[in-house]
Amino acid sequence: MRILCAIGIRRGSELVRQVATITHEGDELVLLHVTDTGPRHDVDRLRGPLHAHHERHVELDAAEEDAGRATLKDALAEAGRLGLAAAERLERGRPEQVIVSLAGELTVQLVVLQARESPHAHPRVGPPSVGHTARFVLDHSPTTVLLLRESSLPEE
Amino acid sequence: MVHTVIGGAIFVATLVAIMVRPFKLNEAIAAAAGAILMVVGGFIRPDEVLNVLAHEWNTFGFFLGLMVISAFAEEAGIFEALANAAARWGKGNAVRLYLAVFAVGATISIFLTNDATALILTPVVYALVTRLRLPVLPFMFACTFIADTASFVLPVSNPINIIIQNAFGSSLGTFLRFLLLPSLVAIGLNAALFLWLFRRSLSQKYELQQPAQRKTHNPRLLLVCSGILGLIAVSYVLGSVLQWPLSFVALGGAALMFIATLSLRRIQLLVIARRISWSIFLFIGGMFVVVRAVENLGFTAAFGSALLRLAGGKPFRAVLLVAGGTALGSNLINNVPMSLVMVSALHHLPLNTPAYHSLAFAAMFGADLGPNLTTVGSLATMLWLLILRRKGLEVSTWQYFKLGMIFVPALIVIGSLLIWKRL
Repeated sequence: MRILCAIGIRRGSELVRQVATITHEGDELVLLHVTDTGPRHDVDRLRGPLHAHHERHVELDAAEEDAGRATLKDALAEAGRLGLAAAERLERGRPEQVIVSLAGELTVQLVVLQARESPHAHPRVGPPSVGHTARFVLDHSPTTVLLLRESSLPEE
Repeated sequence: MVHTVIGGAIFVATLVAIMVRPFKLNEAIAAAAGAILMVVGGFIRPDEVLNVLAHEWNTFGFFLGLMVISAFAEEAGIFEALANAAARWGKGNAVRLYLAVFAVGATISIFLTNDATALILTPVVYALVTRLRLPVLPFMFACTFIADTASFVLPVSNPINIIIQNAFGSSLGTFLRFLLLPSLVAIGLNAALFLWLFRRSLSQKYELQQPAQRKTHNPRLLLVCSGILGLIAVSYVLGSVLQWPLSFVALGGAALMFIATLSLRRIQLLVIARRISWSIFLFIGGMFVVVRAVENLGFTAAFGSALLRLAGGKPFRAVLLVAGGTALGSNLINNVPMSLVMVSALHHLPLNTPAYHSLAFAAMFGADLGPNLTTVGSLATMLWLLILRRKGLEVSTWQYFKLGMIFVPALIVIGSLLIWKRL
C-alpha cells in the first residue's frame, strides 16, 4: 500500500511513528510537506499598492525551503529508524489543494494528516477540532483519509 | 450651491476610490485624479496648488530621506542583524523571541518610522521564524501592530506626525508631554495582549541555527551603516529639540548612507530606487490639493464647528472625539487624508494654544493608532481573520472581535485621558 503522509512544519516524526502502527511489510510512505504560499500572498494584499513591493522573495523562498527540508529530514530519519520505506516530496502551494492533487497523481491508497497543525489550541472534539486543510482533504480526497487527532499523536 | 455640491462629490468620490480601490486602482492615482478634478472644476487655483505643494517641502523631503535611509539600511543587512540578535536573545524560547521582536519592531518604528517595521522588518522576521519552524502569523501580527502602536513616541516615528506637526508646529518637549505616556501605555498593552492572545502558539521551543546570510553581506558595511543610523537617531531627537526641518536630517542621513555604501561596495542604484514608494508622493501631493479645495469650500471649517458643538465645551470630550474620529476615519479611508481633514478642521476653531495642541495631538494619536483599529471590521482585519483561521491559530473570530472591540477603543479612551490630563 502506498500512503501519502502530509506533514506540517512540526510533529512530522510523531506522525510517522503513528503511521508505523498501521503499516505492513511492503507498504511505502510518501512524506509530503507543502510550503503554504497563502500567508505571503495575503500579506501582499494587505499592504496595498501604495507601498513599494520590495519583499525579498529569494531569501524568503530559501527560508521556506530550508524549513520544509528540515521537516522532511526529521520525518525521513524517523521512517528509516522504524524500517519503513519512504520517499520525500517538498511542494509549494495551498496545502489542501496540493495534497488532494498528489493523492490522485500518485494513486495512493491512503492519505494521512493531522486534524490541525496546532492541535493543542483547539477543542479535541467538535467542529473547531478539524482545521481548514484537513476538512478540505476529507471533502475532496480521491482516496481514504486517516485523520490523526492530538490525542492520537505521541508526545515529542 | 451646485458648485459646492460638485466639489463635495469630487471629495467623496476620491475618498471612496481610495477606500474601495475599484478595478484595483492605485490610491495615488485616485488622489491625483481628485486633485486634477478639483483644479479643472475651479475649486482650487493652479497657483494655489503650487503654493500648497511648495509649503509641504519638509514633508516630501522627509519621506524621500526616510525611504532612502531604510533602503540602504536594508541593503546593509541591519534588519536581518537585528532579527538574528532577537533570535539569539530568545535562547530557544518562543515567548522570549516574541518579546524581542516587539522590542526590535518598536525601536525601528520609533527611529525609522512605522513603515520600516511593517514593510521591511516583517519579511525579515518571516524568514527567521520560518527557518526556526515556529508559527509565522503571531510574529507577523506583532510586526504589523507594533509598527503603528510605537509610531507616536517621536515626531519621526510616523510620517503622519510630520504632516500634522508641519501644520501647527510644536516643540519636541510639547510633543513628548502629550504623547510619550500614551505611547508607552499603548506599547505595553499591545505586547501584553498579544502575548496572552498567542500564548499557546508561542509555548514552543526552537533550536538556534546558524543565521542565513545573504551572499552580498558585508560586515564592515553593516557596522558603518549601524553607526550612521545611530547618528541619524540622535540627530532626529536633536533636530526635534532645536526645531530643525526634519527633512534636513532625513536627507542628510540618506546622503551619509549613500556615501558609506558607495565607499564600501558597488551600489545598484536601480535596486535602491525600486525600494522607494514613488507613488506615495503622488498620493500625498494629491491629497494636499484635494483637502485644500474642500477647505476653500468651507467643508472642513463646518466639520470643525460640528466637532466643537458635539464636544459641548468639554475638553475631554473634544479630545476623545478628535482621537476616536480620526482613528475611525483612518481605518475607513487612510490616515493621510483623515489627518489632513482633521488638521484643516482644527485650524478654523477659536481655541487657545494649549487646547489647540491637545486636539492636534489627539488627531495624531488617532491617525497613528487608526490603522490598528482595523480590528473592528475593516477589510484588512477580515483578511487577517481568514488567514488566522486557515492557519489553525487559536483565535476564533468571536474571540478576536471581542478583544479588538475592547482593546482598541480602550486604548483610545486611555490615550485621550492622558492627553487631556496634560492640558
